[in-house]
Amino acid sequence: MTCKDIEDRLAAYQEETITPEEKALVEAHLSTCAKCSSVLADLKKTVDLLKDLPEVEPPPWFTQKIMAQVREEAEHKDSLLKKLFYPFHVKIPIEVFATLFVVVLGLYVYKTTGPEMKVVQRPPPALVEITPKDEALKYAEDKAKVDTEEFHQKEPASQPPASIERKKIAVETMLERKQETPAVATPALPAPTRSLTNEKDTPAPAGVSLRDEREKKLFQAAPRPEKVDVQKPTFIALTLSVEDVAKASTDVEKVLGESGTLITKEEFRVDSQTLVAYFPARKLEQLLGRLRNIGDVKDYRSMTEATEGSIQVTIQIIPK
Amino acid sequence: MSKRENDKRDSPQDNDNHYVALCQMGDTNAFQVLVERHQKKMLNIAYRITGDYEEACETVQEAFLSAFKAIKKFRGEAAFSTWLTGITMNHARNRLKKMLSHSHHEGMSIDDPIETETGQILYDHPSQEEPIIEQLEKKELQAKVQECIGTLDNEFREVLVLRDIQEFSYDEIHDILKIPEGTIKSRLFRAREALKNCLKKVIGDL
Repeated sequence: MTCKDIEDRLAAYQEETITPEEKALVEAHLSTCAKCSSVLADLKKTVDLLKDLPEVEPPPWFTQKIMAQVREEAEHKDSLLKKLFYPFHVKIPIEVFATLFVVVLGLYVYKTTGPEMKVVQRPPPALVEITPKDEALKYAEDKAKVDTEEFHQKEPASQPPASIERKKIAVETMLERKQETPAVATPALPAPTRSLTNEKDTPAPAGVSLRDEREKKLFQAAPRPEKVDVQKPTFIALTLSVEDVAKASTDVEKVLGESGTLITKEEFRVDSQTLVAYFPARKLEQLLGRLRNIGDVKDYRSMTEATEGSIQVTIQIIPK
Repeated sequence: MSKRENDKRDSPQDNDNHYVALCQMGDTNAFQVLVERHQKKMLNIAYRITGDYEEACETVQEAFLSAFKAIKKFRGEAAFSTWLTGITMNHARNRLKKMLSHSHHEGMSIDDPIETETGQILYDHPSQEEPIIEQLEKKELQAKVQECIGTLDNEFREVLVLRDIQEFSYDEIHDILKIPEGTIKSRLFRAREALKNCLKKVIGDL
């Protein structure tokens, strides 16, 4: 064995991890080779130096420092568990309730003011755009549903058939058409009664005086029919108990719309909705029938026995 | 070292396991016993790996925190001290990487040893006429030894620290480093050889 071979085995020899045969060979070589013996001695010294290295001492409060971090971690874990399993334990409820309160308040404000804003924002075309002639036409058409026969009897020649046909068209659409053909309708002007006019709900209070003035002119211009004094404020009120207020509301609006009825007022509440509309008295039974299809009709109150003319119908839709 | 052997006898595995079980049941105070028992050994391992006392303290704190977080995963297949040493070695390794990258960013100090291409440090060779080892204070000698340990590749250094300084058995080192015994031995022998050569260069005759 060369010195190189021996040196390669010296570390293993030192650790006593070589076979007995190799060990004998190495020891035989070491006894004759000073160089290899020196290398082995250096190796031993190296290991001794390593073993003699002093131990360093932990700094003061080292345990406390470590445990502070450990406890912080433990608390963090605990608080996580608490958050998961006891969500209403600490500060969270305050934030949650505050958020819920804001959301509910927002919804409430939207529900209560939203539709009114819609009414206010929508420029009342009847007040702004229509001339007294147009307005007269509007009355003519509104009343046409009710008083057609009557007017035919009184002024059969002046009632254009076109206005009767239009009675099923939505009011806003009718207004547009009226502007296109005001001359046709004008001669058919029947004079509406003052009392009936007042029943009509004016969405913008600012428009009331203007409208009154126009009506006055209108009344002065038009001859009053004898029927006028017979027309009294008549109305019915009923409550419609339904499963789904929103859906029922749409259905009711549809029913009223099909009859060409103007919904003058809509009130939205959190759990109910109130519709006010003017409806031809002679179609009242038909209306009630259709409403019964939508929901249960309750609290039916009638303040009219009229079979002719318009009746103010107040429908409150509530959930069952 | 006899002191280390005493430490070993003072913290039998069974006793550790009792406190480990308490920790696993959520007793944080039981962990303090384990910290008190093992902090010094872990600090010394980290110190010999990193070569910096402050960094070693940080390493050990991180290691204990990691051990606490993972204590429920400890199944007692190896001794708690072995498991903890493995965690400490990992943290020491990572810290060493950070230190090296940091020192690269900071640039070299004029007091730093000059590394050659072979990774060995060059010092002014001491005069051969005087027995330098006697001239050097013991502390300085130990500092030189630590410097030489620092020049070793990480894989050699780890084995050297665990075997020759901390006197772990080959089985324990296998559990800590997850490498075969043959690899441990060959690394250890090469580490000793490299350290011997480094020391001879630094302090002359041993």
